Amino acid sequence: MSELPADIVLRVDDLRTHFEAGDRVAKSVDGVSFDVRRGETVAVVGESGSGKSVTSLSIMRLLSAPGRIVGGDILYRASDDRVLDLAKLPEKAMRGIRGREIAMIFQEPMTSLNPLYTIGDQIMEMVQLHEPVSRAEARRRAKRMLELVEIPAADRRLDEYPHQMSGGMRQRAMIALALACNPKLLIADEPTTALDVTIQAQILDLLRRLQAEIGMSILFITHNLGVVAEIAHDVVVMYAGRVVEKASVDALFDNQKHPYTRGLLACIPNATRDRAPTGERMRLNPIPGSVPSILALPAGCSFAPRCSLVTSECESNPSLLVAGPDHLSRCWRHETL
Amino acid sequence: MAPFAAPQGLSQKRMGRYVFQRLLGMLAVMFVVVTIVFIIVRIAPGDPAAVMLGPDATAQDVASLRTRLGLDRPIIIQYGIFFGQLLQGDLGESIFLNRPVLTALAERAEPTFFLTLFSILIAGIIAIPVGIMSAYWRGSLFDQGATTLAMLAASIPSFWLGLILIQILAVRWGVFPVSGYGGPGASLLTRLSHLILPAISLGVVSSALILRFTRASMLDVLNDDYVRTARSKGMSEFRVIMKHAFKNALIPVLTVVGITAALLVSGAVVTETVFGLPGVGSLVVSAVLRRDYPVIQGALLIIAALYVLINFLIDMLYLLVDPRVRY
Repeated sequence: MSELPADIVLRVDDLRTHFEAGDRVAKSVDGVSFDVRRGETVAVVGESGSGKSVTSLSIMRLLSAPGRIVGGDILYRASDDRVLDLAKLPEKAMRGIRGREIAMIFQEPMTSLNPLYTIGDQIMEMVQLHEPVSRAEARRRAKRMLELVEIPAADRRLDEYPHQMSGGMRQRAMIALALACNPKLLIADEPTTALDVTIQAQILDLLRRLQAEIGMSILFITHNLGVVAEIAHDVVVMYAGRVVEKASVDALFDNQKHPYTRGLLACIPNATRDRAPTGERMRLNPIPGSVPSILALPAGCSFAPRCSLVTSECESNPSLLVAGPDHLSRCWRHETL
Repeated sequence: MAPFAAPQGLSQKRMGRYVFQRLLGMLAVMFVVVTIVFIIVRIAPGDPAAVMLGPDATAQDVASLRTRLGLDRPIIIQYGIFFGQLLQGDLGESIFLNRPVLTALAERAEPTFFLTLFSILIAGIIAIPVGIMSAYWRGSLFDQGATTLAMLAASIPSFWLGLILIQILAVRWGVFPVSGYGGPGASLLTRLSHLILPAISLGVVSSALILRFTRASMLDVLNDDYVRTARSKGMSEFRVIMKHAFKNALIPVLTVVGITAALLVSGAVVTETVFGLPGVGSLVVSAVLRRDYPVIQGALLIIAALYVLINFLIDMLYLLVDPRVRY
């Protein structure tokens, strides 16, 4: 188990997370594997229902019932260099991991902070949960964290409540909270989705700068490939609970080896590209159809019903095939792409 | 959303304004209540003077009593006098008890006050933890049992539960006194021991409502994002529930505890009669039976004032719990 290469912080290996209700089983995460290297950012991309958030909640072991990890390993290299399998760690030990080793920020900055406590209290609580420091010391740390995420007038902001801050400020405060105990891995679950485009760019800048300064790894969950290009080193594309394509960010943007990824990229509106030579605006290019219900996946390739390249081969489900150096694709026809 | 927070001084000013508004509201409500109580007593069928003197009174007796009570004056003048006396703390004179209404009420206040206090404490101590656990283990055997028991408790009349408790715990086992308030000169401890059974019978019945509200309110907040954030910080589940979820669920619960407390004051009327407690409730019952209008009027006003006061206190508690009210 401890054969984790030294530069790997997190290895998710054949993770399977199911939601069981009666005799129906939703295989929300069905055999997902990827590595996160030290100091790097891995983006997990997919539509709602692809299993990307369930993957991140599985790593934190914050699944709500009836969600359950039914198989696979989540190997994590802790600060003391021990390699732990988070999938099997007892809940009590897991509490020492959350916040201290792996921290998380969420999509909704408006609701992710507790409205009844000041920003300072919420950051200080995190510090005092994991480190034996006095209140005064915790407050100094909280102030330093607010300064780190570039919140002006940090001293005063400590005593403010979340409702007194804007969405962008709250997401900064949330990042300050998450990083308060200097975690090695930050899981960011759609952290910019609810924000204005300009604020989005600021938050991405901030995360990049913090990563360079602190050297943490980031697991970035998003549905937005534009954001991926900004921040990620490696990309994992998920569809219906499975990884369909995995590559470095450059390889992926150069040459998509799965029709789903190609479709996702075509979905991004582009003001210059989407204009006909006459200057007339062209229609958006959505992927036809929608994500199949995880309870009723088609036999064979689960993307086949929406795919324009479909052949008889697609009635059986491919495994992840090598489509190039460090480039994997779950498509029989990746060579034609 | 304000780009800058209000400086401390300004927020205190806003807090002051909130308190002041609530106080004004409280006075307005009391004014309306006083007026309604006045009108109700005046439009009740029958001439109070005739009713008081009984069927054998002569017309002259009735007329002189009417003059003495001021009932021959125009209604608006009567209202003015009533209001003026009220402002001086004068609720009038009881017809049968030979003393001012306020004195009569004050003599009876202690058992009612402690009965209400104990009932609400018992209700809260049962209902709030059970409600939290019910929501946390939603759909479990515990939840189903608690919800069913709550429904049962809500459908039991408190006087019936009182009679059962007396029968078993007081008469058969002799653990608690059967009835009364210990008689003249009884020690505080003896007096309070007489309140245990009535407080249980009132408290159990009102716990049902508080339990349902606590459960529903907890279910609302348990799925909130900040609860997930709290978990992601690595704290114990108990701390997540109590510090982060329950405090947010508390606001509706406070409201219903307040309403329940107010209802208990009037609910005490029946329970005091069952347990033979010399409280405000039993005073009102005997006043109604004897048509002692000033006492009925005074008691109505006091109960209404308690209602308004409790509501005011709840508003002040919001201020403590929820910073969004303060700013």
